[in-house]
Formats: sequence, structure tokens, C-alpha cells
Amino acid sequence: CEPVYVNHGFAPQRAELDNIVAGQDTRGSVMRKLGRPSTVSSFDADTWYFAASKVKKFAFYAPEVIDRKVVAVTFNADGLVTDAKSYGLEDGQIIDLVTRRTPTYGREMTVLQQVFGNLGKFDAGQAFDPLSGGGSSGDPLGGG
Amino acid sequence: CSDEKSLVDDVRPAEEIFAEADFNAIEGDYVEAAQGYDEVERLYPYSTLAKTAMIRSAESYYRGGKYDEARLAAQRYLDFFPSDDDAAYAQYIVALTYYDQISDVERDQGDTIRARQALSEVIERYPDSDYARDAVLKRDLTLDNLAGKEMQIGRYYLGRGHYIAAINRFRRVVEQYSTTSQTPEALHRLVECYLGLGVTNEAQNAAAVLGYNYPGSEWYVDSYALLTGQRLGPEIDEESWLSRNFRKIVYGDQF
Amino acid sequence: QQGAAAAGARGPTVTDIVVLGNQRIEPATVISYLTLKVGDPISEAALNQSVRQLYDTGLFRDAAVAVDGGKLLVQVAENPSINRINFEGNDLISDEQMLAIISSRPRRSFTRAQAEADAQALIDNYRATGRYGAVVEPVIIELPENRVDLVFEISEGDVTEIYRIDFVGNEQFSDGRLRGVIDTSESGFLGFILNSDVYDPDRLEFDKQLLRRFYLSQGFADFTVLSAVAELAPDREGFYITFTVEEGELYTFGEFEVINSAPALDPEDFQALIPEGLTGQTYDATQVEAIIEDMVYLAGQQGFAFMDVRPRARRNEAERTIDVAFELVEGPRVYVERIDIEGNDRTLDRVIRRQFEIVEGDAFNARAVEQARGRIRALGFFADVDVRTERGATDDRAVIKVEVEEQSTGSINFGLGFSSAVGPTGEISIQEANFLGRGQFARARVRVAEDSQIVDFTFEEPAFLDRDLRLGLNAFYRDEDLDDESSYEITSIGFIPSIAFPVSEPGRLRLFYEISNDDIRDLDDNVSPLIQRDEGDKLTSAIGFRYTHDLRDDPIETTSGYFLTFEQTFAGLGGDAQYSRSVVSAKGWTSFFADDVIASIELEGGAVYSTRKDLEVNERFFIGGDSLRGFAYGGIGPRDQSLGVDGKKRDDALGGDFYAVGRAEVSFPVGLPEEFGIHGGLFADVGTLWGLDDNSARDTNVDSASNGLDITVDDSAHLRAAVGASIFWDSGFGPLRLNFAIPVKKQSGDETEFFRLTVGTRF
Repeated sequence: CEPVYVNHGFAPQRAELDNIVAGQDTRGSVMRKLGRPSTVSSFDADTWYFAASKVKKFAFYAPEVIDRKVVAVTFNADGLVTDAKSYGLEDGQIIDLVTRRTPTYGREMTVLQQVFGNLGKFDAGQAFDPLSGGGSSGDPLGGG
Repeated sequence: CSDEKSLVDDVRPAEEIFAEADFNAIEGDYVEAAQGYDEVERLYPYSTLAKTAMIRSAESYYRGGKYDEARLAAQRYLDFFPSDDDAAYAQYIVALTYYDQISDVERDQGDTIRARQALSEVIERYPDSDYARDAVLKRDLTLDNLAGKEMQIGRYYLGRGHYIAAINRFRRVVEQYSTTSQTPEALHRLVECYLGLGVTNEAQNAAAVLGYNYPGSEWYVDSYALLTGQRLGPEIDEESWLSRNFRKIVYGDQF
Repeated sequence: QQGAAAAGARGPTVTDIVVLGNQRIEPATVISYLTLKVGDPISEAALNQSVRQLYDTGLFRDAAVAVDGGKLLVQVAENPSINRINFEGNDLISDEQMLAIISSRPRRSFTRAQAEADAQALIDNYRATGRYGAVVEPVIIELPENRVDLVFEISEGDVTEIYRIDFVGNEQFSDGRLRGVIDTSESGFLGFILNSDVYDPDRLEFDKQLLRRFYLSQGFADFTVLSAVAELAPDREGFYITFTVEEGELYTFGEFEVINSAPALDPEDFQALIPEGLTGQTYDATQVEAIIEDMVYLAGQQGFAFMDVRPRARRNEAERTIDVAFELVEGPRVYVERIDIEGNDRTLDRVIRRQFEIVEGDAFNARAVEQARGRIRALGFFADVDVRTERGATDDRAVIKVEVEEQSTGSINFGLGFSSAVGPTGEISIQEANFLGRGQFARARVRVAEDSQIVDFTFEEPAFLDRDLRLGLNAFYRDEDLDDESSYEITSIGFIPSIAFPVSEPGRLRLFYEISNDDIRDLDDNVSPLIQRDEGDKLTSAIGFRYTHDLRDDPIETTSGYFLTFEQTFAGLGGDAQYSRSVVSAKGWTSFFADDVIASIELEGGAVYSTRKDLEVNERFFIGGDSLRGFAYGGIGPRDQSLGVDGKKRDDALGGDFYAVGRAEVSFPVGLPEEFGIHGGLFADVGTLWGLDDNSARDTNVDSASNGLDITVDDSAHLRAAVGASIFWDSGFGPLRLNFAIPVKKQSGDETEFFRLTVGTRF
């Protein structure tokens, strides 16, 4: 079985990027030419980001990002494009993500509650269903 | 022919049924007590006791954990006596019936939203009632839970390397839930995402805002470490493969 | 309304408000509902507004506001309080269900309007099940203290049937053929069973679409349904339905063309998606749709997520051909803004979210959304899965809304079972298919039967290492007494880790390793010598894989498609056992009468081969019971019937190295209302079990009648067959199945089984 490739997001092709001219294009013209950005910079919204990635999935291997393109278009105070930078997969850093989580409220489902929550839901399916524990040896309690 | 339900009504006077219900309430048999108060209201809807019975029924059902019945009774009280002195308490009970059922952030937050609305009603319609103060605290906590849900989804995408999806979720927390306790972590996660994409100036912006607004937070310590080159690169991951996956399967951690 | 001030002039203002006629509602409450407050100017409009406001609360039977100088006189009469609600004449639908439909409640105020609305809601509910004759009357019983009892008197009427369905204007296809195409059916002999013979206007609309799709797939591009008319028969018990259609001309495919406007796309790749030799064949709309879908998928693969493929058909009337041009057009760029998941009270968000291949921020792709919906349903945790796409913040953004309704996936059960083969069984098992809402499967089972004890733990993590990789761990201890079947007891203890992952859209592969120890002991003193030699301990260390190819339309309630499995095990990775064991099965489904009648055919076969020719009894196949109905477990196949100790005839099943079984089944409703959940079924099983490595052994048992002689057993293949009927009952206890089977072809010495109570889902 061969791998499956999945494309995520959307980033402009090289050809489309070339007709963005610094100092002339505005947010409106960039929107028309390249479409809506994937995200906008968080704090002063002066940069638009377009990002696309290609993921290779093969059997039980972990999905692997094999290509990523990020295009950053920055605008100056009066809304004109200052420059358009692009980043590739190689710019990305591998990060040791912090495993700590800010606590939140809300009832967790406890094991006991889960188990005894079903008390009385008699699933006769198990009573006679011959053990389907798998395994290769002949199953003395009948097929299945 | 319809099935004959017991059509014989309790003929005792309202006061007697009411007293019995009170007794049950004191004894802690809340559901029986509530049913007793209901009978008073059903048989003598226009007696002076009916009004008190309604609010007591709501309170007893709530204490007995019968949230739906408690809400129905409290709602009836609000329909008939919206401007009465116990109305604030009735509205507060409605809020509690949702508040107590809020589930953790990885599951449906419908009750959180409904609790939030009901608590806002208490605060806006009965501002000087003694329930309003507690309602404000509880409402902030519901906001925190909604922010927590966004964070959980953000971490899901971050853990799988979908940085853009994660960034947009964490930005929603920073912009729409900025007063909650989740914001410092959201800012740090933005630092992680932008570094993952390789857009270091955005990462620095995010860390700067984090440091400025939450200088003492552990999250700023983490962001600072990332930006000064520590905790970067594949070889620094000390946790063993086995312990990381044990945590993921048994505790359901994301990464 | 005396003394109302002239509009516009500086009229009197409200100085005081007096409320009269109220009983349980206090004046302050009534006043709070009025728009006029003390100090407001009195105007006609304000008065009317106040009165309407009072009515809107639903608390008052009538209300009037009079003005006396500056004083407002608010005269109200409260609606009575509902004491009790009763339903009379509802046989089919229970009181609880009726109560859930209406909104009036005891202790609330009664209003005539609400009672009427409730009655209409109940009538609509009956209409939905086809009972157009149902009548519901709200009746009030006055009680003291301004209270009322509300009684809904119901006459359900009987189901309005469909007496006849006719077609006008159809030359190419017969009425009978077209009746098979549409969903609605005539109430004929089977009418009393099927519920598709009930008149339902929505179904009529759906029938029009079905007709159109059918004709378009048969080459009639101009086909239209002129009308679909249902007239009520004079006896008001049923309808006559007439479809008037205009078929138009028969068309065949002409030329095909790909028009491409996107520079980066190569039209040749898309041309290749059009099957050769289509030109000249009868025009088929579904074929065109299939090609479009493949083209959209290919464009998506090449990174053009927003590509739209628009078919342009050009008819040439003369040759009656249709040329089809596929135009590749840059569609509107729609992104997925958010995926919102609701209703998951127990299942964690990520268990549902990870079924989506698309991610927030990706291009919107309807096919991927549909795929995700299928996967979420296949989890089996939900009674209902609804995936909708809604407009996001702007019109080029979409929000995917997932609403699930959970069903219980766990069970703790104290099973008291009875199976003729094994006798009474007692069982305690705790199983949860959605453990802690994480989609993990966990099962602990302790089973005590009259003659066997089984302890079994299974745990599965579906997304191991955050991948589509199911890690499975199974450990078991089995102690069984098989005296009835083969006069020996066996104790097995084993551990089976496994991983499973998808290899293609329908295909999944499961790799497993098994380490187990089997101890054949406590042999009967009259045991067959062919089993005697297997006594003792045996360690099995085996690896294997199981490939499944799932093309069923729905994994839970399958009505069409097929399901193939192939399992191969190699024992001999160390341990004493050395054999190769293969089992293959194929099952196909089809359905009739709008999925009411479901038929399936299944073929299954297995072979176990040992290079050292030393297979032991428990390593061979045993069939019977569920796997071959009509015969007891171990009831067929090679059998030692030689004369044993003091001339007593032995009767030990030896199993077989090879088996082959065929099962045909059909299930259908039996006309009882849906709530009973009872279906009927017929089945026919045919099968055989044969082959022993070594079908003879010397009888060394001193007191055996044939001591010292060679016992040889016939291990050739003999066909067995049985037919039977089953009753399925979705009881509160879970899906029960009662099988009654009669063997029609058996060998002497076979052990048959007439009745078997098994529990399993309807296929």
C-alpha cells in the first residue's frame, strides 16, 4: 500500500507572489490576488500569514510533515505592502512542548462513575457470546 | 380506556402537607420533601402557602440532585412572582442547576454556557441581592472554562503540528478571554507555535506581551527559555519514549 | 374606557394603579408586567400595549385597564392552574411520550390557546406515522379553587394505506419496474408487514427524485415528472397514487472534453479519469457524477483545494447524443474557520476531532466532511451523528458543526445464560467501548460455566502514539471441561498483544503475537487414543495478521456491500507448536422493500497445516453451534466411535484440519409495531469439517475392548446442511436471537442442536 498525501491550508504559488509589489499593493489588492490569509499577526495585525503544508501518511507510521510553505506579507502604517517573506519547513524549530496545563473546573469522569454509571445495562451480548479473545488455538466454546 | 392513575387526591389541609414536607426537608429526604411541597401547590394553588411551597420545592429538588425538576419549579416561581423577594433565590437556583453539571473542558460545554446566562440574569436583575456577589465569582469561573475548551483544542492541534489551527485557537483566547487565567498559557503556546513555524519575530512579540503583563508567571519562564535557545532541537527531550506514551494512554495527556 | 384623554393633549399622568380580581398573582407582579408606570402620561396606545402585555404572560384568562382620572384600574381574571393532565384512547403511544410532545404541565396556568396547540402537536405526531384519521380533543374538567384537569381525548384511527400506484406516460419501463424504483409501495399481501405502504407526502417528493435519478441513469436526459397525485379513496381508509411522467428521447454519450482554466493543472490527467469506450453507451447521469467526483479529488490531491468541476452537456437532437464537457473552474475559496463539536457529554473532543482529516484553516472539502461523518458513526458510540456546515464570520469561511447524541457503550452484566452445548453459564463482565470517553476499549470478564472457568482482560487504545494505530492487549486464563465433546479437559493461559492500522480506505491490517500454554489433562479413561497422545503441556508462540476489507454501506446496520477477512497465523517462533493456520471469510448483503428485508450470504473456510504433522486436538478446527447452526459445537467432523473400556462405545470429536461453511440468511419485519423491536429471519447453513494429520492410533488401553488394535477414523469430508428460522428481539436486555434449526443432511454420530439462544446484533 502506498502512502497517502494530505494537503493542509493554502499558500500562494511563486507566480502569484511575484505580482505583489511593495509600496503599491494594499490589503484590498492582496486579498484579491492571494485570497484571505490563514492567520494575522497577533498583536499589531500588520502582517498577514499564508501557510500550507503537505503531510505524508503511511500505514502505522506517524503522519510526517514533508513540506511547509509560510508567506508573510507585512503592511506599513498607511496600509501599503512593505515586503513579502517566505519561510520553508527548514525554518521550523523542533520544540519540547511544556506538558503543564492551566487547571480548569468541571467534573472529570471517574472510572467508578463510568463503570457503575452503566449498572443495570445488561448487555446479554456477552453472556453467551463465545469468547472472542482471539488467538489462534481452536476455541472450545464455539466459533467467533 | 385510559389507564386508571390514582385520581384520589390527598385531602389533608395545605398546612399539614406543608409541615410534613418541611419535616422531610430537615431530615434530609429532599426529594420526598419537594414532592410534598408540589402537592401543596397543586392542590391549593391560590393559598398563601403555595408561593413558599414553590420556592421550597425548587430548593429541595436541587439539594436532592434532581436538577431538571428544581429548574422547573424555580422557573414557575419566576413566572408567577418575578419581582418577589425570593425571585433572586429562584433565579440563583436555576443557575446552580446548570453550574453543578459543568463537565471538564474536553466535553460538551452546553451547561457552562447555560450557567453563564442564568448567572448573568441573577447579576443584572437582582444586583443588590446577596446571591449576586456569589454569581459574579461563579460567572468568571464559567468564562475560564470556556477559555479552557479553546486551549484544549489549541493544544490538540499544537500536539499534531498543525500550527496555524493552533495559533488561531490561542489567539481567540488572548482576544476574547483576556481576563481569564488561561491567557498566560495561551501567550506561551503562541510562542511555541510561531517558533514551530520559524516566524521568530512573532514569537518575540508574543513573549514580550507575556513578560509585560504577567512577569512572574511560570509561562514567561518557559517562553524566555525557548527564545534563548534552550529547550529547542530534538536532542533535548529527556523524557523517555515509554513514560511519555504511558502518560498519554493512562492520563490522556496531549503530548 | 371612560375619561381617556384625547391623544396629543397634555393628558393626565398615572397617579395610582389598582389591581383587582387577582388571586395568587400579587399586584406588584401584575404592575411589573404593565408598560405604564406611575407618572407616565396615559395614552390609548400605552393602555392597549399594557393589556396585550398581560395576555402575553399567559397567566390571565382576560384583562382590562380602565382609567379613572389619574388612577388605573387593572381588572384581571387569572387562568386556572392545571391540576392533572390525562390522555385517553392512546393505545399506540405511551402517556410519557405524549407528555413530552405537549408543553402544558401540571401546576402551570391553563390557556385555551396552549391546549389547542398541544392537541395539534399530537395530531401532527400521529400524521408522521401515517395515521391521517387521528383526532385529538382537549377537554377541561373544572375543579374547585379555580383549578382544572386537562384531558386529551384521542381516537387514533387506523393507518391510511395505499390501495394502488399507477404510472401514466411510461412507454420504456413497465409500471411494475417503476414501482420497484420508488420508495412508497402498495399495501398488498406484504402490506401489513412493511411500513413503506403508508401515505407520506415527503416520501412522494422523494419518489419523484428517485424516478428522475433512475431515468437519467438509463439515458433519458429530458425526463420530467409532470405530477404525482394522491386521492383519498371514498372509504377514507387509503389513497390512490398516480405519477404522470414524460420520458423524452433516449440519448447516448457523445464526445468528452476537459476545459481547463488553471495553468498549473494538466488536462491530460483529468482526461484519463474518463473511462474509455463510454462514447456511444447510453447516457448515465450517475456516471457523470462519479467522474466529477474523481476530478475534484484529483485536483485536491494536487493542492487545488478550491477547484470546481462543472459539467456542460450539449445535446444534438438529430443523432440523439450528448457531448459532455468538464470545465475546471477555480471555485470560491472557502476555508474551514472552526470545527465545533457538541453533545459529547462523555466522549472527549479529540476522539471525534481526530476523525477529521481536514484541520481548521484548511480549504473546505465536502467529501472530507462526509468521510469524517462516516468514521464518527463507525465508532459506534453515538445513536445519531449530525455534521452540518454553516456560514462562518464571512461568506468565504465555513464552520463545521458536529452534533452527536451518545448511546450507552458500556455494560456491566451478570449473565445467566443457557446454551445447549455448554449448559448453564454464569458470567460477570464489565465492558466499556468508550472508556473514560477516550474511545479506549476495556473489558474485564470472569465467566463461570458448569464446566469451564474463563478470566479474560482486553484493553485497546485506538490512537496509539497519536496515529491511526490501535494497540490491543488481551490476556486470558481458560479452564475447560470438554468431556461431552471429546472427553478431556484443557487449561490455557495466554497473552496476545496486537496493533491494527488502515492500509487503504476499506482495508485494515491487524498484526498480533500470541504466547500461550495449553495443558490437556484429566483425560477420560475411555478417551480416544487419537486424543490420548495429545496429553500434556504445550507452549505456543505464534505471530499472525488479520486483513479485513470493509465495503459495507453501514458497519452497524448493514443493508448492502460486502466484508472480507483473511487471517493467517504462524506458530513456531519458539515454543513447541509448529503450524500454519489460515481462515478466510466473505459476506455480502443486499436489501429489498426499502431496506425492510435484508438478505446475506457468507462463505467461510479454514486450513491448518503442520510440517511435523503433530497437530493436537485443540489446535484443530471445531465447528457447530453458532458457526454451523443445527449442529452442536463439535457435533460434526472426524469422530472416534471405536469400542472402548468394557465395550462401551467411544464418542469423541477430534476436530479437523480443514473446514468450509456457507450460510444464507434473510431477515424481515413481522408486522408488529416498531416499539416491540421484533424481527423474523430464515437461514440455511451448509458445511463440512475434515482431515487429520494422522487418522489412526494404536489402542494401548489395557481394559479397552479393542486393546492393541489400530483405531482408524474416517476423516474424509461429508457435507452437512440445516435450515431454520430465527426470531430477533431487541429486548431491554440487549439484542437476543432465538434460533430453531432442523438438520436436513447429516452423518450418523453427528450431534445436532435444535434450539440455541444466542445474543448478537442483527447483521
